[in-house]
Parts: sequence; C-alpha cells; structure tokens
Amino acid sequence: MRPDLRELTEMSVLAALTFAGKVAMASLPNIEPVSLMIMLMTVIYGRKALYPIYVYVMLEMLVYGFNLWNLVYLYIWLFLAVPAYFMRPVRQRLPWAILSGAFGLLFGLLCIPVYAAVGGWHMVFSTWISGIPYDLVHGVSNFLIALVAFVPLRDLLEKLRARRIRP
Amino acid sequence: MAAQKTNKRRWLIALVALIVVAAILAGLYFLFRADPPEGDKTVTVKVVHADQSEKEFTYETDDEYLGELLTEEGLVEGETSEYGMYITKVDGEQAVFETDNAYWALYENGEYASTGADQTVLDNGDEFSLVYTKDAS
Repeated sequence: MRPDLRELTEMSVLAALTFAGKVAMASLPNIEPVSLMIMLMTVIYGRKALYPIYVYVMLEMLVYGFNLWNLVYLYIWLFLAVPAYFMRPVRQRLPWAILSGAFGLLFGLLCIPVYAAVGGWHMVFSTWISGIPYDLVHGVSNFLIALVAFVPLRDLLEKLRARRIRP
Repeated sequence: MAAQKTNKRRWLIALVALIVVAAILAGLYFLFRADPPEGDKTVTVKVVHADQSEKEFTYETDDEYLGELLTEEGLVEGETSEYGMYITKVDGEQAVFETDNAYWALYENGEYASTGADQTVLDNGDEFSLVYTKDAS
C-alpha cells in the first residue's frame, strides 16, 4: 500500500489544494470543499487515500496548532472515507451527494467525544443541539457540492491518472 | 435494466431517509434549544485583557443572544466559524490564534461557555467574562 514517489507528489498537491480550498471558503460558514476532496481521494487512491487525508490534517495542525478543536480531525474524516471506499464502484451522482450530505448532517454528532473533552459530558447535549443549524447548512451544502462536482472531478482525475500510467 | 431500476429506487429511498434525518435534527433543535426569555435584562460582561487588566461593562438589553448584544454595543468583533461565532477582537484587543495561539475564551456565570456567543442565551443577571487566553500548545 506504499505509494510511489509520483503518487506521493500527487497526493501532497491534492492535500494542499484541499487545505487551500478550505481556507478560501472559510468566510462561508460550514460550506467547505474538504468532504468532496476526501471522497475524491478515496475513489482515486483507495486505501492509500489515508496518506493525503492525513497530510491535510497535518497541515491543519501546523497552521492552527494542535488543540482540542482540531483533535476531531484526527478521526472524523474516516467516517466519510470508509463508506466512500466501499462505494467506489458507484458512478451515479446522487449516491455521492447523499453520502456527503449525511456526513455534513452528522458532523456535530461525530464531534461529541471532543465536546465531552472540552466541557464534560453534561455539556455534550446542549452543545450538539446548539450546533444543529450549522449541521443543516453543512449537510445541504455538502449535498449540493457533491451533486454538482463529484462526478466531473472524478472523471477528470481518472483521465489524468490513466494518461500518466500509459507508456 | 431491472437491476438499474432497483438501484435507482434504493438511492431514492436513501435520499428520503436523508431528508427525514434532517427533519429530525431540525425538530430536536426546536424542541431542546434554550428558549430566550423576552423583555429587558441586565447582564454584565467582564473583559480580562492580555496584560491582566480588567474592565466591566453592564448592559440593559432586550436582545436574546449575547453575540448580537456585544456586536451591537461594539465591544467585540468576530467571524462565523464552523462552531458558531468566533470572537477575534474584544474592547480593541485582537487575539491572533495563528501567530500567538491566543483566543478570547467566553465564560458564562463562571463556567466555560458550551455555546458560541451568537447562541448564548441572555438571562437577567447573567455574568459573562471574556478572557484573553493563550493556548500552551
């Protein structure tokens, strides 16, 4: 499962693009390109996608520092990458939009271990409930972004990969 | 052809399930969110600056949430983040996390607030503190 040098370069570029995209869209609350990129990396690289995913997480930590809030990034993307890995044969747009939308909707729920670490278990429920409007925006925006962009970007990346593999 | 049709049906059911989950989440929010009391309230906000100097502000307001009160009063500036309002500047002092690991911590009646300022409900007599905090890491 070790990537070669060329793959490592591609993966690093994709991870850096993911981070840059997130920073560029930071002013739009909970509208982000990261979920789309995680799914794309997973369909393109399979299990090797863990490399670019964690390069991206490392970039987050390097720029924003290691703190309780980005601790969530250490595990949360796996909840998207693992289903995406098993959905790789699926080529229609709707299933990918559903996966991305569901991930956005459940983002707050998946943050519960971190809420507990920050404020204790008694604060988990109120913190999660107060974040639901953000999760709804996250879910709808993730759904729409994936519906529009996932299939064309997947086709593009697969074409680029096929071109470089051909002698 | 039949398999394709079944597949399409399966994904449509998944889409309906997704919408149901969204509706349940919205329902939970409206059922359990903290209901802001109506009418005038008096609240105090203590600001602890980086040099440990303290200032106290008292407000009489009919605003429902702390974020709208502090923004209207010009005490804070902030941006919207994935976890709610992220306060960047208080009483003229900026906290820069990227370079100084510094942020404005919000306390509500002595306890670390579990919500962002924009979702912190105002009750009569509430005491808030905004403390310039440096993360050791």
